[in-house]
Amino acid sequence: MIRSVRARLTLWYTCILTVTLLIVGGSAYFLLSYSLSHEMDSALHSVAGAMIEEARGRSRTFPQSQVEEFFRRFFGFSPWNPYFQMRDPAGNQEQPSSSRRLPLSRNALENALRNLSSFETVQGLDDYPVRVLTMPVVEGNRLVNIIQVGMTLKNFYDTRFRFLLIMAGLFPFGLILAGAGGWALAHRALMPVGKMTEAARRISSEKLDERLDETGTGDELDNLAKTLNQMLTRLDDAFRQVRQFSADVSHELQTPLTIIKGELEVALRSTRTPEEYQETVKSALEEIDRIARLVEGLLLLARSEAGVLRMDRQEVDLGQVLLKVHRQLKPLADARGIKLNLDSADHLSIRGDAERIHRMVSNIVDNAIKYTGAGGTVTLASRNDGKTASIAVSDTGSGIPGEEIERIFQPFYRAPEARSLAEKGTGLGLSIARSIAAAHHGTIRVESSPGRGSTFTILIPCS
Amino acid sequence: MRLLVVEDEKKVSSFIKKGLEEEGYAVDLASDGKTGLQMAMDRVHDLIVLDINLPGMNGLSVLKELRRAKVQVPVLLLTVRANIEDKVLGLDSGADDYLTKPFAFDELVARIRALLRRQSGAGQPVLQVADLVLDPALRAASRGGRKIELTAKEYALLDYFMRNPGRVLTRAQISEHVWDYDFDSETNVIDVYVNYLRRKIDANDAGKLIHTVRGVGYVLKEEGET
Repeated sequence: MIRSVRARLTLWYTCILTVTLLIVGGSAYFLLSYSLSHEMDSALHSVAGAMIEEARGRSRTFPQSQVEEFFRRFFGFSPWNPYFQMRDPAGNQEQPSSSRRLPLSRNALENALRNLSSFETVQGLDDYPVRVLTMPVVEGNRLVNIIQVGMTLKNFYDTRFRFLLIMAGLFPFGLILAGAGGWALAHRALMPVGKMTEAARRISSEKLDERLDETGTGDELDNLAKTLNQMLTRLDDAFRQVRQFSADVSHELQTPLTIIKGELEVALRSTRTPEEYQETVKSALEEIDRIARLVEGLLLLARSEAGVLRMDRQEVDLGQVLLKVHRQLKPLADARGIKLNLDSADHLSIRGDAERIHRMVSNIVDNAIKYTGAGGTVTLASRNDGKTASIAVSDTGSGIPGEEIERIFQPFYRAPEARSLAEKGTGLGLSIARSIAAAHHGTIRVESSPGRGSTFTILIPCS
Repeated sequence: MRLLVVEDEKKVSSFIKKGLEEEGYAVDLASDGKTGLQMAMDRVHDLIVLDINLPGMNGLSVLKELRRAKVQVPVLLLTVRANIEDKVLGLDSGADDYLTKPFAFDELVARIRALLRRQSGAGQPVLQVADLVLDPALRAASRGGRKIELTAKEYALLDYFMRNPGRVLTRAQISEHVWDYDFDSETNVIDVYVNYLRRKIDANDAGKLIHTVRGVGYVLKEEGET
């Protein structure tokens, strides 16, 4: 409803403060009333006590001036109209010392007969209620008199009213002040957020190298900036990878296109023999195949990354797959002067897509052959430990430096020495192999010692 | 005119070589940056077509290295990268022109022709000695208005003569500028081609233009000129 955090913060702050003020004000009011009435009662008690002492000593009657003197002594001032009454044990009035009569309630009389004092608040004697103390005067276990003293509650009510008035005056003022303070505080607290928003708006996908300012104070906002910056770095990397990937794809596509276009244009520049035309058309077809393979590979990668790779799920005999790959790639290995050994092709079956698994193994073996020099050996072996089926492809090639191992699975990654090889693949072989392994909930592990060779191990959980 | 093409993609370099040879240029090929640089350092080429994306040493490094060695031969860069920064970087590294793959072969030839024309200093598109006229853009030669049909090699030879009128050209110079590294200089191929050319140009008693300088080589000049 309220869009700005700042306004909401201020509102909350003000609400909480209102409740706090109300509670504090209410308590103060209550305590004030309590303390005032307690003071009044104890003063009345003292007045009555002093008068009883006086009465015992001297007389049972008090002139008005003496009554006023007693009140002054204990209240600190002489009321305009102090209430005082002396009664006999039966409750009858002995000395009408006050112009106004204090009533004696049945309850107070009964209390007095039982030698107890009682406080009462009596209405109707004055504009304000009057607080009355009824106290028995006992001499030697005998009730001799009942003394009543009273004091108007005017001051009490006035003080309470003034307190309320002051509170009522201060309350809105305090709230306004608090609200303004809250608003300013929220503004101050949120200022870095505003700055961050501004900076974040500046950083578009084109300028991902910019970063938010980190204050280095280690507070919440600094943490937020750090977290956002880390996110930006990851985003930046992702964007860079995508850009690199697009650049690689376009490079891989441009090359065959350049060849097709160039060769056809050169061929058309003059009349050729049929053999020359055939040569040109054959070459163009080769390049078209290359593009088709590339596009198909990219599509496969994209689908498996998006998790929409359509796969058969049926029993596949890995032993059979190994035999087939061995049979198919033997001529290539022979042509390169490489020995392609098949160590064991045990019957071990997993659930999966036969065609894809064949392709994965074939890609790995093809890669091993490509990076092994003449006279080298590539060995295929399969194993099953009950839970995981593994296919190991070991070569005696140049090996892969440790830091390169993760990169070899990236699309279009090529080892530097491979770039000079006469024929190039699509650059997607290992990426595709890995994505097929992943689609079968498996992995491809690489162990390599530079100069001695590498072992690629495909691990796929058995069904 | 002898050109050097530095390009790692075999098929690309081979169609460029084929097409340019048919245009009458002698073409040498290098398939990586280092080899390309070494060949360019021989300073026998009139122009270098240089791919940027090369194994070993990339095209821009080759180019910078060449310019540092004061090799002023025109360089035409080839690349699949096509953004402006790359073009600026390429040209600032010392390239004379830039072509993005895939390119039209006609454009490549026209750009090579333009660069060579600028290089020869004259800037004139048509070469002329006496009544013999050669138009590199059309690849056409004529003498006194009579069109002369030439093969690619004959054309290349005539082009070299026309660009150096009155100068005695040795067989070594001719082989260096008109033939590529594969040419075997022990044969008499140069004499054979000069004779082919002479038969076509100096026919119909229009006056002899190609003269033999015994023991040295050949010279293209008007008769009577010394």
